[in-house]
Amino acid sequence: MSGGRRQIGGHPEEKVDQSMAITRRATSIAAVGAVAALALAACGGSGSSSTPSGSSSSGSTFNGAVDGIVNPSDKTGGTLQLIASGDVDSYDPARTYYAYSWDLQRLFTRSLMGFAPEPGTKGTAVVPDLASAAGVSNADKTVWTYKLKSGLKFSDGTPITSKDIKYGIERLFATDVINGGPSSYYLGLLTPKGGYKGPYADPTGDLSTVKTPDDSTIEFDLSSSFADFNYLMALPTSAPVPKAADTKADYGKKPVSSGPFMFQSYTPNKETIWVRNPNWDQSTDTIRHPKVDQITLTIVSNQADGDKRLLSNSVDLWADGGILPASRPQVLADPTKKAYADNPTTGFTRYIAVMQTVAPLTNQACREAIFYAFNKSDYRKIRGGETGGDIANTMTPPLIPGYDANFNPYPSGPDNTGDLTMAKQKLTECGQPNGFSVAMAYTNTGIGPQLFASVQANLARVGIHVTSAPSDSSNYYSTWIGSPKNIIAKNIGIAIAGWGADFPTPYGFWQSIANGNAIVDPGNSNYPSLNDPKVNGILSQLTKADPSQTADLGGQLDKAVMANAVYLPVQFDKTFYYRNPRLTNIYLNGGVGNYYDYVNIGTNDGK
Amino acid sequence: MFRYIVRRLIGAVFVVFIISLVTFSLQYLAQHVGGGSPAYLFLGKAPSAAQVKAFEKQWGLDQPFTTQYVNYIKGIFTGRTLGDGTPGSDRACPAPCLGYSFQYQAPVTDLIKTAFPVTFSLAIGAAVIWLISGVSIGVLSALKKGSLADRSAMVVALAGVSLPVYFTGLILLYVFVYSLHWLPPPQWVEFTTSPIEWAQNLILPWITIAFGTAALYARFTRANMLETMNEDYIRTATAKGLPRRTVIGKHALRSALTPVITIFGLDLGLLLGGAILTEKTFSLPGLGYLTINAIARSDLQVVLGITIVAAVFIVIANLVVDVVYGLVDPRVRFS
Repeated sequence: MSGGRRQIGGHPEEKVDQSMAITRRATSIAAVGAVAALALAACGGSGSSSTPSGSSSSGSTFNGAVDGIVNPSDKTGGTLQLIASGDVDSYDPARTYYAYSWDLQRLFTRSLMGFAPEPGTKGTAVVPDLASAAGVSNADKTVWTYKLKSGLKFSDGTPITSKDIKYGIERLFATDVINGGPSSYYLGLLTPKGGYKGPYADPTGDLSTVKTPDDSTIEFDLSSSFADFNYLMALPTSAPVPKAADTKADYGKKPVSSGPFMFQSYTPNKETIWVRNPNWDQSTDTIRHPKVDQITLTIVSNQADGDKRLLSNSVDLWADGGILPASRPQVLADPTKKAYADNPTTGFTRYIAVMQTVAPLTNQACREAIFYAFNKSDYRKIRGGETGGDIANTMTPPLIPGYDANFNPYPSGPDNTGDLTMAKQKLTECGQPNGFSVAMAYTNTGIGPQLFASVQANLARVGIHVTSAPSDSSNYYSTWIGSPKNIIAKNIGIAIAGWGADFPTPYGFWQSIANGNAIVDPGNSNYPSLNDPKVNGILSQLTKADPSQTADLGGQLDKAVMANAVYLPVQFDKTFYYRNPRLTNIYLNGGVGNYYDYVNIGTNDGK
Repeated sequence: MFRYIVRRLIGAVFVVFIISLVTFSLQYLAQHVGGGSPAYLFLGKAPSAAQVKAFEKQWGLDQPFTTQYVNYIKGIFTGRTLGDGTPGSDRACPAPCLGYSFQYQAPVTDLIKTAFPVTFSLAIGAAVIWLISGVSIGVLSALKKGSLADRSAMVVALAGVSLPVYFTGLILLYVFVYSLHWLPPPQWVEFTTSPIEWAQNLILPWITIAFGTAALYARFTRANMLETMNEDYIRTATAKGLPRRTVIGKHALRSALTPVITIFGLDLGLLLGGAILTEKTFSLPGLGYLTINAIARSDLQVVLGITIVAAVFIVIANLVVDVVYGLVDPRVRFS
């Protein structure tokens, strides 16, 4: 099952339940890829016209698909059989926010830009898709212009023009019908001065901030600088939609395709079948090099059953995540199975929000006491152990530009069980030598209660008394910890949270959780209500930065946020995948949340 | 008899009405007190307070309780159009309108219509299996009371009653699908698409449900048979020289089985409301699966709709059972 709250600017952890089933729901699209130690030298350029470049291995090894392409092959034909434990939120490109759904969108949706078909870190780069080149902007990055390639067609044979792209964006403004996706970015940047109600309420109206001087040119006039605009144009949210085929709320039942596959049938909660789109032209597409004739997605609600099917090679992949922790030992113990498993980071950081609005945590030293006393090792064990995640040294996950593996401002001891001496020192510093009492927020399902029990026991070692403030997962992020007022009212001093960026840039990761101007009630993602002028300033700089400056600013931003001691990073999430040995051209793509790049996968038996 | 049925029907309607009122109140409370507004389902990302207000106004969720409830009940009989008339935002909900799911963006009735055939197939097949096997084993056990067969049957029955459905289901999957490969991994195939595949995919879920229920029926039938066999009239019939087959088949069975009819009706009625555990274990998209998903995402309109539908099934089952009982057992007088 899926579901959960998805937020502006990124994705909080959807459910703290069912151990690693969480990562099935992980809706991040953050930068991911290999852990630094596994990074291989890049080889080849991107955008080749045949199979994607990148280091490739002819045999398969454990983690082979994390930073390389496994079993490269030109063989075509066959059906890719995917399974998922829960259905997508929507196939309407404007209304989907699940990460695995975004990966599936690559089958039948093309946008102006797209994520490079490369493994690992290279997959977080955005490259032109429908556009002939990346967007050209003015100096302060408020006006962006794109030119379309020629010969582009929808699956119904009609040409794709700049007006179709504009219409796709216009739909986002009909928020009472089109909702559920990350439309807030587009609404925030493209709402004209007089407002715009969308094409349904205002059929003769026009979104004046998007101009289409001719069929192959489109210009966006933003209300503020946005250096990452090419990334927004890579999301399915900005995909073209033909107005004549727009069935509004029903569009997600069978969207028109601009990609190499199109819908044959969709039975919600049961099965989706895609077949090849005869109107898609390979010569216009440098991202997709499909090999199979058909792709099926079957919903298997029983995850243990699904793992069994996958491990017996009767299906090809879990589309929405990895295998259960209980299934991992058998894979790790069997070398023939382990060679087809991958254990990458997902781009999600699991952390504890420490609220500076709740006494005595208004005093930074008291917050730091929690940072030092925290037992990250225990927490990690509960979340699936080594295969479930890596201990996090800082908030920015690996390979979001700015990540510094050597930056560990609050070390929690040599074995990550906590530095109690330092913690007690901080307690004395903040005037609470015997500890203090705070409530802890967590979701009341799955492993939430276990995590609470662990934190409670571990912080008690220095006299910090933690009481429980659980809530249902359906409103945890919206009205429980997403309401600054509620945090104060319930004395919530610490809260379990997880976060992944919507697109892999420092701004994409930090804006909603760290900018003072992002604080709202309810639906807040800046849980500790951080409002640090230095942090706000760097975020503002990032909206105007050139790509060459991004990494450096990202590093500064990470350090500036950590200096406030409001976000205690605990672990960088990992997923444990298993792939059917018959699959070819298979690699994990960082741009789509480190899921396999389904559109490029083939089979070695042609079946 | 006719008057009896009419009276019972009126009573049934009243019971369903009360259930709808209670369930609707709970859903209303969940929305207003528990922070479970459908706005969060529909608007997806954490919406602002203003957006939530606008949403609730558009869908009439800010109206007083009585207005909302009356509209809901009216909708069941006449259908409704939800929304405030803004172009593009109207949602038609034809009769019987059991509410609108903001998660699936569809009338609840449509969701139930799609899911019901799955649950119905599951229930009917399992019911046939458990009734036949449970009653036969119970009768045979009673007739051969104290024998090895009887004792073994009752031990197996004890296991069936004690083992949880998800355990039985997983064991069956492991044995028949993954070890022996006698059956394919289960998925829902419509009867109209292929009756053979339909049955093939349902055989394991049928057995899973039937195992536990048949066990109950076996024990229950056995007890009833034993009691009936001790009745005076049975002794009289035997003394009169009637063949054993006639004594058992014509006289004893009839009165021993009437209580079985009662519980069968109730069990079937309950099952038609959705077999949550079995459906989830075997990936069958029926009412139970729909319910559990709706609960997990707080899509309370779906839960409300299914609760009312399930209540109707149980109430009707109750009524049918009572009427049949009266027909079968002449000692029962309708009063």
